[in-house]
Order: sequence, then structure tokens, then C-alpha cells
Amino acid sequence: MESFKHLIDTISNPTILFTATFLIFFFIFPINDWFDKWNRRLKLYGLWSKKSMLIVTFIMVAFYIVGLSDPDFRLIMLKPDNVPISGLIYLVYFFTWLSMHQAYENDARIERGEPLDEQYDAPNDKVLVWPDLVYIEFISLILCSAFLLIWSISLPAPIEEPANPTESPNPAKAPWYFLGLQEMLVYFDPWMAGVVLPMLIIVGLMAIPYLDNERSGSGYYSFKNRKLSIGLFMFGWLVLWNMLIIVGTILRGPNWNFFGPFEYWDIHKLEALTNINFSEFVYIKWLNTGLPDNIILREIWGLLVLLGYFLILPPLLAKTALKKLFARLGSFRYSIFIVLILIALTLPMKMYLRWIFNLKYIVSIPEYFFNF
Amino acid sequence: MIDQQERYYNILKLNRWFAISSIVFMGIWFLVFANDFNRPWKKYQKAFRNIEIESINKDISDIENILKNDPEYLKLNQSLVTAEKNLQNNTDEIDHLNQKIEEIDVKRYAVNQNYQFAKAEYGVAKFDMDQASFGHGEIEKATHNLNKLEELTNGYKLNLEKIEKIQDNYVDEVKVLYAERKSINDQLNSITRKRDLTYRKLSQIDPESMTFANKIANVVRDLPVLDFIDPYYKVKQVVINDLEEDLVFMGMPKVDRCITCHVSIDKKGFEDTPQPFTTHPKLDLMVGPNSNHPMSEYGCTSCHAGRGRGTGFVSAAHSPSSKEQAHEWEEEYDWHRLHHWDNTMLPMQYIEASCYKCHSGTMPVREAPTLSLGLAIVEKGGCFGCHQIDRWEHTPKPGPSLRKIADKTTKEFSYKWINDPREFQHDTWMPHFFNQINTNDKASIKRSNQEIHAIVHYLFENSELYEMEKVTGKGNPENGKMLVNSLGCLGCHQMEEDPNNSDKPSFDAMRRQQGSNLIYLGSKTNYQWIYNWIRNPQSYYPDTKMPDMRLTKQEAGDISAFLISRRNDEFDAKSIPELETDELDKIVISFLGQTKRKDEVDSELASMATDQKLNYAGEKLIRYYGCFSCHDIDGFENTKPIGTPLTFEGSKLITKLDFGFMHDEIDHTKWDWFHLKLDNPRIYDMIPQGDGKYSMKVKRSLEKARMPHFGLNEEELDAIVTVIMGFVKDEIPANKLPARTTRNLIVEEGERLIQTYNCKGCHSIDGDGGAIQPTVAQWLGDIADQTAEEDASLVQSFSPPLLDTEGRKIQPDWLFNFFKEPIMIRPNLQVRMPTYSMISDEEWNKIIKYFQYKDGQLLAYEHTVTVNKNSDSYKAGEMIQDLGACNNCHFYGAQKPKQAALTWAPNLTLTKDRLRQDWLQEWFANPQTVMPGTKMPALYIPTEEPTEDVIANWGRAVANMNGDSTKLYQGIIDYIWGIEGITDVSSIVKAHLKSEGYGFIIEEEDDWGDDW
Repeated sequence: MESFKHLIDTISNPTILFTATFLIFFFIFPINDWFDKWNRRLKLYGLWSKKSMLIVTFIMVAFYIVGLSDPDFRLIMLKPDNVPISGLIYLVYFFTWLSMHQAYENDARIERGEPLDEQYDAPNDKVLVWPDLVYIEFISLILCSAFLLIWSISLPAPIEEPANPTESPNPAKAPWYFLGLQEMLVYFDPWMAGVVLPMLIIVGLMAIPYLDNERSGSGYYSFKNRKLSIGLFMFGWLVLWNMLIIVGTILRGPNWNFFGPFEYWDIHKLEALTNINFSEFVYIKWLNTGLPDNIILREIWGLLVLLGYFLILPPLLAKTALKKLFARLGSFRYSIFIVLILIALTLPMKMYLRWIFNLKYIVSIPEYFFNF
Repeated sequence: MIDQQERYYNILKLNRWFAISSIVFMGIWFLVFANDFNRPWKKYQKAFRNIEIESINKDISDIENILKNDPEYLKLNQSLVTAEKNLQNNTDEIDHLNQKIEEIDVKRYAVNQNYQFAKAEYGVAKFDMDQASFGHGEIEKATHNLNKLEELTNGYKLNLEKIEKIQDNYVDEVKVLYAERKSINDQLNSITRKRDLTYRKLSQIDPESMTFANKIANVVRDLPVLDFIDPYYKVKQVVINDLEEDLVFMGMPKVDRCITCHVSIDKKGFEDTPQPFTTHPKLDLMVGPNSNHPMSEYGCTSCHAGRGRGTGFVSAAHSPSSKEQAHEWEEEYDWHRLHHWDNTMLPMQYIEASCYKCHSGTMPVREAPTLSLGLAIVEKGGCFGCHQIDRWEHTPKPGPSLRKIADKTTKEFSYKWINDPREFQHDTWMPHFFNQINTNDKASIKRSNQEIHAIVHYLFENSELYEMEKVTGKGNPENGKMLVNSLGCLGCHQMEEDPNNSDKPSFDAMRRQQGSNLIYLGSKTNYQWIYNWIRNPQSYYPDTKMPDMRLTKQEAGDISAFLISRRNDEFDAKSIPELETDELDKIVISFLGQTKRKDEVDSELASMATDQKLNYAGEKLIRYYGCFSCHDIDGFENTKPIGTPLTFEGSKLITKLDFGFMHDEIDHTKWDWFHLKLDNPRIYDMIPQGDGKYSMKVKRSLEKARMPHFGLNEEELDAIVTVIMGFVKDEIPANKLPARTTRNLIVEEGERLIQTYNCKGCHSIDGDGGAIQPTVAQWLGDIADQTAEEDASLVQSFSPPLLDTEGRKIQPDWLFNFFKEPIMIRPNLQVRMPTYSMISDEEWNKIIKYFQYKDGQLLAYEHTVTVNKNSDSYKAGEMIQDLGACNNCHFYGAQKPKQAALTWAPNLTLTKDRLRQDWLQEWFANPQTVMPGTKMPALYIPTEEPTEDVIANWGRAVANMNGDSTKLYQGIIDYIWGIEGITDVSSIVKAHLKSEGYGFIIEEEDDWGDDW
């Protein structure tokens, strides 16, 4: 048991956890034919069968129940604030499974020439607001209220001591839905993580219908025709958002250090965190000189890297790997799409740069509050 | 079948879903109500209701039993029956009279009505008349009208009075008939009042004793939902607006709901009922409406702490007093610590901490023995030296001065002493700095050895010269022993070699630790030093609290010889490790390296000779360990304290205490942290390995915890933790504090001084103090026998005086002079009032004022008494003292008392300068109440005897006092005021004791008296 806990604690280490996720993710949600080929060869789509759902749910529940025997795990998971996060894990899994299950089902039906599962054969493809919509909304409302009442009775509100400016909680955590952003703060300047990136998330979400105007597979669950869009979205939603929330809730302890789910939150835990900027890499490590006083001169290398990443990489990709996509989207939509994707990818990239090279910022101009 | 038409879902199914979810929803609403209705405290109120009903029923049956056997009650009942019978016999007459009254009443009613109408009109007529006089209306008409109405009104009034009189007559007649029964009933009521009240009380809470309507109301008022109106079971609370709960950003009035479950905390009679119904154990002091701390003004949590607003066992933040209780609570109440409340309830062993919030000025704090002990320890142990605590900011250092140490002791002794103080003196307050749990590994011991060398070297190198008087010859140790035992040294010092014989720690026992335990001084110091020290303590250390005992050279020599004769051979035999320069270098480097770079350190080290290194390291180490906190050391006069300030330590947030690796070893509470820290100050440097073994955290020498180990026992630990928990920030409004009256302030100040100079080590004041007495008893046992040792009044007569009524007793100017230059008062005493040259005039005045204010004696000036030796009063006094044989015990000037020295009493020539006449009146009348245990008998004076007998036996002068005790006592006072002669009889006493001794029945055979 102890070794099992130790194993879980070990693989909960962010380097392992994220690497494993990054590696596996696109085999489960293949974004192109190559991944799809492997997905089929490894029969990974079997994950979306009912049997798999039961097995996965069973494993998750069993893990939870077994985990509760551990006092440290119990302390984290049963904290009234964290109970919804446990719920979130199951719900996100279930609805992901449900939609993927449906999608594969529909894909199969289409292949067999059968009608879709969601096909509605009423005249004009319409459903009445009353009673079909309002009635079920009302019933849901009642059931949700009932559920909330039971919850509030059985799990009293997690009221804590009066706020005290001389005693900030450690760890000081944002509300659960912002924990993803808070996690980003580890890797980005507050300005980026707190303002620019969240704004781009919203912009990006708004841009989706304009970027993806593909009609096929629209209006019902399907996967076959929309591999890239679904794969990319799921990556952003599951890995870059939900997973960060879960990590922030369960695995971040005092001083924002990482703790495995079965690890004691020792306030004294220390991690050697001496991070340096890209300019320091160039001038001090590689060129063995001091940092130039001139800001432009100092940051020129980082700026070049960024310019290369955002200005040279997109056309390069358009000519090579994403030729087809470029052709389909046209240059305008392609540029927006690729910039959004590249920005999203900076998060995992910065994670790795941090873990492997202790890199703090690629461009760091604290004089003008610009760090990237 | 419903027509599906265009509907996508099956409407029937939806209806079913709707029905089911609605029912579920409604069910959950019931759950909400039930959850709200079912509050945990209700069961306690219900249980207590039954207990109370039972207790009232018991009261009732007790009262009924008493009544049953009360002859008066029985007789009255009997009479009542007769009275009723008599009334029955007169029924006809009563009926007749009542009928008459009724008839007349009808008439009276009619007349009264007419009268009321006429009166009203008359009022109007008066107004009209005034108006007419003013010019509105006709005067003539108005006058006529007024007169007419006045006549009418008066007529009706007379008529009414007539009728009323007739009616009253009839009523009186009826009353007479009823009179007997009424008077019996009144008498009965006065007897059964208590019973009736108890019945009424019962009918309010016991459903069985209620009326039918009340029974229904009793049920309805507590029904769910309806119980918001006026329920029987409800949250009970005290709101104290001027005591605030500190919620960081704001203060909220204190609201204590503890009484919701502890319903009977303020009701007498439930002392033995189990919790939560137990009556407060100190109702006269706390909670009770007539106590100094009534619940309505102080609430509960202002002393107990905890969450006053909580109405559940856990949410009230209860704290168990022991692991067993915690376990019990977990089982019974599902208890766990309330982590989200900083100020959880104090466990009972620390409850006195709260007294300190308001009573921080007093010393000791009355009714708070643990807190007082803790305060004494903080003072004695010198906690305030390293830890800044406001209260003790200007308190002198508790340890001896080390400025002239080279003349007091040797380097070798100092080394061994610093290394292991308790090895030499088991009860010393000097704590252990070395060989502690975090420094007992080989490398640390090696370093410690050299550290001590350096400290000792520094102290001796910088020691000033102590110019001592040369002593010639040797004293007599036997005589010295007697002197130590009899002079009063043991009021402040102990001489106890056996640690098992030490007293249980208490505030009182601490008094005899004012000075050190006088054992093994031969190992520690030398004859000459002791001689000089006891002859004149201030010559060695000007700030010492050791007073001057006015010892003669011979006495000092004898005492020194005795003290020096005792050695600790085992300790002497120990050797000390060699000086190791390599290790010393490491120490020097560790300090130099704190501020300097390695090359600088190296060059500096190279330039130092060993002496310099020792000096440098010694100075740094004294600073590092804070030796200067307790000892006066040259060069450290203004060094800041090294420890955490403790002024508000009790309010410290628990998150600011580092539990280190001990988080599983102790409970997560502040008091457990403090307790462990005090018990083993270095423990938080350690990592527990199980089985009581520890390994050390990775720390360099100067990073280690350095608080020394005081070897405290459980009582002492609890006492100090109590004090620390009392150091809180709470703001208490002035009206809640002890009133800052002149009296209180003066008494407070006086008590502090009395504590500082340990007056109560010898004197008992109002039943507190007199720590020396057991040693006096022992001494009496030594010089006489067992019976003398056990004779309490004899012991008291050989002990320093009680100061119970000192303020009323003594003339202040005499007392002041006495303080400055003590003289012999009770001739039999060996105990000597020392001379306190370090106490300033101002402080003496404060002490005198303390006595006066304490005793309510505020007169500043009093008339001088002139005595007329021809007056009756004087002559009466002369006769009484003669017959009373005062000179059996008292000196009259140089005239010795008749009896043996054992019973000798003060020289009466002292009295007129020393005592106050008011007090003497009190004293003569009843010496035992004024000074319990005194040997002075109550004076016999003729107050009730026939005058002829008085004339015959006592003479005319006494008879002229008419048996008035005040006058008779005044006579004695007059007589005493007239006694002339020398006041200082010390040489006579000395000579007498030398030749004849005390005159114990079993005469002592030792020769201790030879030198007197």
C-alpha cells in the first residue's frame, strides 16, 4: 500500500504527469490520420465503450475510496471546498465519455448508412419550447435545488476564522475556477497570466465559429470529420484548463510547492528554485560576458526567438506540415488560428523550459513591465 | 392516452418526473425544517428541565415535611376549620348584610352619577366665570350660574357621603364576621409562602402541574416553525456590549451562549449534577450575580475563551484538559479541535491565565495560585531577561552579579557550574545551557567544552577587584549553624541537600528561594568572601536584594565558618577538560565568519593570541547565550534581550509557532507547544525516531535553538504556560478592570514591593506568607524539644511578627524610623529584622501607606497624648496592670519581666512612640482576633461586677470607670504612656540569655548561647 501511494506521489510530480499527458493525449484524441492510425491500431477508441466507462469509473471510485484511508489524502479531498473538485473530475470524465461515445456511435451509423442517434424526425426539424424545453428545464431546476439543499445540509459551509491581514493562508488559493490561471502564474509574468492570456482565451473561444466553418459533422456528435478541431479543443479544455485546476487544488500545497496526493503538506518543504532569464543564458552561460546595459541589446536574442516563433514559424508551417489546413482556411483565418494555437502552446513549452533549464523569461524587460 | 402531437418528449413521462421531483423536493424541505428544528443543545435543556422538576419536587416534599411537623401550621389549620364553621353559623346574617349593601349600592350609584354630572358642569361654570371676568361674557349671569352649580354639587356630594357611610357600616359588619378567618389565612400564608412560590415555579416548568390551557401552550410553543414566537427551549445568551470579540478588522460585542447548555451554571444546588449542568464551582467569585464577576457583565468566554457564539460542543471550541478527556469527548461528542478559531477554550489547568488580563498589576493574584506561582517563576527564573515582557521591564536581574567574580570563586568551579549547575545545587534557577538534546553529540560536546572555557575566561579576565576586609582568625561553625537557623536567613534561603525534600512548588515555597540554597558553599567560594558578603552585601553588588543583617564580626565569622564547612566532594572531584586551541579556533571562526570573509577571518585569527581568542569567543558567547540577561556583567549593560518578546505571546497565532517535526508528538495547541518548549527547550531542533529517540535536524552550531533547560516539573510548567497564555492583547474597558481607586493602587504597589523584597518570607500578612515558620519550629526543636517544635503558638512567638493590622497598629513615623534602623521589640526573638539600605525612602513610604490603606487607617496626623498621673484613668490603669501582672512578660524600661525569657514581650516604654491608641483598645479587648496565635492574653477588667466588689477588689479609681471597657482600657493606655525608662533593652536581654537561657523546661545543653 505504501509503495502504491509512493508511486502515485511520484507520478503526480508535474514533470511526469504533464509529460505523460502530453504524450498520450493525442493518441486518445487523434488530430490527424497518423495519430488516428495508431489510435485504431492500439484500439484506444475502445475507451469510449460503455464497458470502458464502467471500468474507468470503477477504478476512479476505487482509487478515491482506497485513498480516503490515507489521512493526508482525506484531508485534501474532504475539505468542503475541494469536494466539488472531486465531483468535477467525475463529471468532466463522464461528459467527455458521453460525447465521444455518441460521436463514435454516430460515425459508425453514418458509415453503416443509418440515421444519426440525435436525428429528430418532427416536421421542420424543430422542437416546441413548451412543453419540451420549459418542462424539462423546470424539472431540472427542482432536482438541482433539491440536490443543493441536501448538499448544504450534509456538508456545512466551509466557514473559516475571521480574515486576518497578519495571517495569510498558506497556500493562498484562488477560487477553484481560477486555479488554472493561478497555476499559469508559476510560469508567466502576472501580467501575461492574469490579463493577456485569459483575454486571449475568451477571444479564442469567440473566434472558434469563424475559424471553423466546416459544415460536415456539425449539429450532432461526430469525431471522424472534425478530428483536428475536437483534438485541439479538448487539449485546451482538458489539459490546459481542467488539469491545471485539479493540479492547483489537489497537488499544490504550502508555498505553492507540489505535493503528491498522499504526501503530508509540510510547510517547511523547500524546492531549489533559482531561475534565470534567456538573456542570462546567452550572455553569461554561453558567451561568458556580463549582461549589456542596453535593454534592446540585452533582450535582442529573446526577442528574435519570439519573432521567429510568431512570424517565421507560421508561414513555414503553412508551407510544410499544415499545407492542407492553410489551403482550407485561407491566409487570414490561418494566421489567427495559428497565432492562437502558438500562444496556447507557449504554456506547455514554458513549463518544460522551466523544468529542464530553470528558464524564467524568454524576454525580460522589468523596466517596462514586460516579461514573456 | 395523451395525444403526442408535435411533442418531442412523452408528456406523461414528464408529468411523472415532475411529480416525483416535486415530492422529493417537498420531502427535502421537511428535511430542512427538521434539520433546523433538531438542534443539539435542545436535548440538554430538555434533560435539565427534568432535573429541575425533580429538584423542585424534592424541595416541595421537603417543605411539606417541615410543615407537617410544624405545630403552628397544624394549629392554624385547626383554627381555620373552626373559623369556617363559625362563618357557616352566621350565613343568614351575612346574606342579609350583603343584600343591604347591594341595595344601598344601587342608590349610591344613582347619586354618584348626579354628583359627577354636577361636578363637570361646575367646572365649566368656573371657566365661564373666569372668561366673563376677562371680558368675554356677562359677569352677572356667570356668577349666578356658578353659585347655583356650586350649591348643587355640594348637595350631591353630601348626599353621596351619607349613603357611602351607611354602606361602609354594613361592609364593616361583614368584615368583622370574616375577620377571624382572614387573620388565620394571613398567618398561614406567611408560613406557606415559600411552599406556594415553589409550587408556582413548578407549575411554570412541569407540564403535569400545569393547567389544561398551559399544557397545550407548552406543546405548541415548541412546535417546529411556530417555535420562533416564544419557545421554552431556546438559545440563551448574555450580550456584553463593552467587551469585544476581536475579529481583526472590527470588534463585535461579546455574545456568550454557553448558558444554552450550561443552563444551571449560575444556579445554586446543582454542584454535583454532571456536566453540562454543574453549578460554577466558585459562584461567590465568578458568575454569581453578587460576585465580583457576574455573568451579566463578564460573560463566560472572557475568562474561559472559546467561541461564545457557538451552540454545539465542537463549535463552542471546547478544549480538553487531558488526553483521556479528549478521547472521552471524541467518543461522546464527536469532538475535534476547532481549527478556525484562534482563541479556543483554555483547558482547566491554564484557566487562571485569564485572571492576568485584568489583574496584571497584583502580585500575587489572589485566588489564582497557579498564575501566581507562574509569575513568581518568571521573575525568579529570569524569563523576562531574555524575553522582553512589558510588566518586568525595569525589574532587576535575578542572578548574582559577575562583575567581581574572580574574588568570589575559582575558574574551575565556574567551569563545572556552567557545565552542569543542577549537579552542584539541585534546585538552582541557573539553567543548563550545555549537553542538551541538540548538543549532546560528540562534536557538540567538544565544542561546548571550549565554549565554557571561553566564557569563564572572559568573566575572570574582566573581573573587577573586590576590596575585602581582611579576616583574622576562624569562626565557630557550630555557633554559625545556630545563627543561620535562628537569625532569619531561612526566610529567603533554604539549606536542603536532598532534592526529594524540596517543597511542592507553590508561590509560598518560592519565597524561600529568594536567595540560593545555602549548600556546599565550601566548594563554591571562600571564607573571606562569605564573611565580607554577609557583613555588607552591597559592597559586592550594590543592586543586591540581600539585606544587611547587622552581623558582628564574630557572628559573621561563625556563619562563614559554618557555610564554608559544607562541600560537595563528588562535584569537587570532577575534572575539567583541557583547553583545545583547534576547537577554540573553530568557535572564533564561526563568530568571525558571521560578518567577515574567509581571508579576513583567517588573517584576524592568525593575529590573535590564545588569550585574545578566549576573550573574543567569551564575549560573543555571553552575548549569544544571553548570560547578561540574568547576571550583571561588565560590558553588557545595554545589550538588548535575545529572545522572542513575550508581552503578547498568549495572543500569538498558532501558525506562528513552528511545531517542526513534533507535530505528531503533541497536540496542535499553543499551550502544548509552550509546555513542550519549556520542558525541553531544544526539542524543536529534533526529529523523533520513535521509542523516545531523536535525531538532529541539519543545523550549524550557531543555528541551533539555545534556550536553556530549567529542569521544571509539571506544576511549574503548567504555571508558566498559564502566565504565557495570560499575555494577551485583549482590550479591557476601564469599568471591567479592578477599580483604580487610590486604595487599590497603593495596595497593589505595596504588594509588589513586599513581593520584591520578600517581606512575606518572614512575615505573614492576612494569612499569607511567613514561609520561615517551619524553620523556626525546627530550630525550637533543636534548642528545646519536640513539644516546643509542635507548639504552634510558641513557634509563632519565636517567628517574625504577623503584620495583619500593621496599618492601624503602628505610628507611621516610628515605623519609618524602625525600617531605617531596626531595634529590638520582642526580646525573646532571635530572628532579626534586617536593614534594607537598598530600599529608598520613597519605597518605605509606599510600604507604610500600603499598610495604612489596607487597614483603612488614613489619618495622617494625630494629637500627642499627655498623661495626668493623678487622674482616675491613670490610677485605674495602674491598678489593672498591677493585678493583670503585665510585668510577668513585659519589660518596663530596664526592669526585667518576672517570668523566664521564653515568654518575654515588648518593652512597654516603646509603646507610646510605637503604637496607636485606637488599635490598643482593639488589642486589649481581643488579642486573638487582632493577632491570631498571640501569647498576649485578653485583659480581665471588671465590667459586670457590682460596684462594691470593684471598690473592694480594684479600688475607687477603677470603680469610677463605671465598668466602661473603653475607659478602663484607656486607663491602661494612660498608664503605659506614663512609663518611663530606657527603650533599648537588647544588652539586658543578651546578658540574661547568656546567663540563664530561655528557660525551656527541658534545658538545652549546647553552647550556642555562649556568644550572646
